[in-house]
Amino acid sequence: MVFTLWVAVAALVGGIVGALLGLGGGIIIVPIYTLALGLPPQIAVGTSLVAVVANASSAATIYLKSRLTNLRLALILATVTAAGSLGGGLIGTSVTGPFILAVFGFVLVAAGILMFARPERDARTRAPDEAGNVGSDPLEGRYFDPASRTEVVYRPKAVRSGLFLSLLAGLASGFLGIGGGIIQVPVMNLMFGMPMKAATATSSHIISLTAVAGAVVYLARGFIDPGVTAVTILGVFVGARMGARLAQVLPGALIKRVFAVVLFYMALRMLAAAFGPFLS
Amino acid sequence: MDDRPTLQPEDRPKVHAVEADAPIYGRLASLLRVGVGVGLAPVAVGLAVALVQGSVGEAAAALIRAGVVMTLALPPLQALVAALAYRSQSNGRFARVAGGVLVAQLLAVLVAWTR
Repeated sequence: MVFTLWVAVAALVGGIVGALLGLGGGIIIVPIYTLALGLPPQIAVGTSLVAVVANASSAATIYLKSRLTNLRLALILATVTAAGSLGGGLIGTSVTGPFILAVFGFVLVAAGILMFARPERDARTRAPDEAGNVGSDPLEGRYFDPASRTEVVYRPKAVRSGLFLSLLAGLASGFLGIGGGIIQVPVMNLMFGMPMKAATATSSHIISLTAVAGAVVYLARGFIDPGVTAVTILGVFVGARMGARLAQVLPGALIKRVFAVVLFYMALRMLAAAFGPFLS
Repeated sequence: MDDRPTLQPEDRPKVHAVEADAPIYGRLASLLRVGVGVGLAPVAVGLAVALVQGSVGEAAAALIRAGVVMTLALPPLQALVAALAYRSQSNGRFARVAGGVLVAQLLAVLVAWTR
């Protein structure tokens, strides 16, 4: 019962943090499950992937209604991300637990650096002309931003050069049990020039389409524990709802910096767990 | 006789991609809203059964697995709905893109269960 409660708390925190930062939550869940709760890494990763699919699908509903999601861009990127997720799942279920911990540790270091140092880039937007017409770019996005009370119009650029990074995001997703948003969101914001809100929403939609490729591999190989998965799915779902409300009142920059510190701490713990036996 | 001037193609106001896709956005949002609920329900019931019994028995495990499978069925359903919707709008390009996502997902299922 105590173990179940700890799983629920970890899932709740994962859901809250994921919603605050536009991530699936796996980047919190997997380290806690492996380091604090002692779950085998493959079980933690498989459980996390299923929860990520449920969480991202739920978030996608809200983003689609508000038109924040760039659906066409999400579909384009999802093709390569899904392929990457399948590859990541196949690799992840075939390697040893310490190897997963080591890779995850390095990914957390990179994620922490990105969170700490990455400025929130204001994407260049363009207004429609007087007749209300816009360009003929099939990927052009448009949504109403309640914060600024303006209609935001943007055109993603250099999409082809971001496809390889989307493939990497999928690999990371299937291998580590994360959604991949930690890679997708910066790519869309910094490389494609999309507004942060649209990048977060589109990333969430991509995750809702692609994490299943890795999740199915773990399910087929018996790495989904029903009890842990049930508590995780429900915990992440509730946490995401709470996180979405908190996101409206908390300053984004502060959240990111605190989270970066937490990521660095977890990275150290994971690297210690992976390399400790070899150093002693 | 209709005296209204006929607009040439280059004079017609362009329809923004988001406006053109509005029905697809609506359909996907509805699918996901219903689908998440359908997937979570057996998971919640299975967990409740496990808590009452004190452990995850066969019935609870079966319910939870059913919920997991239904949750994992949502992404391919999404891709299929998007592909059919774009095709109905005569947007072959994005119908193929959505179809590509569906193929990648189904390939994952095939590889996972046959390897």
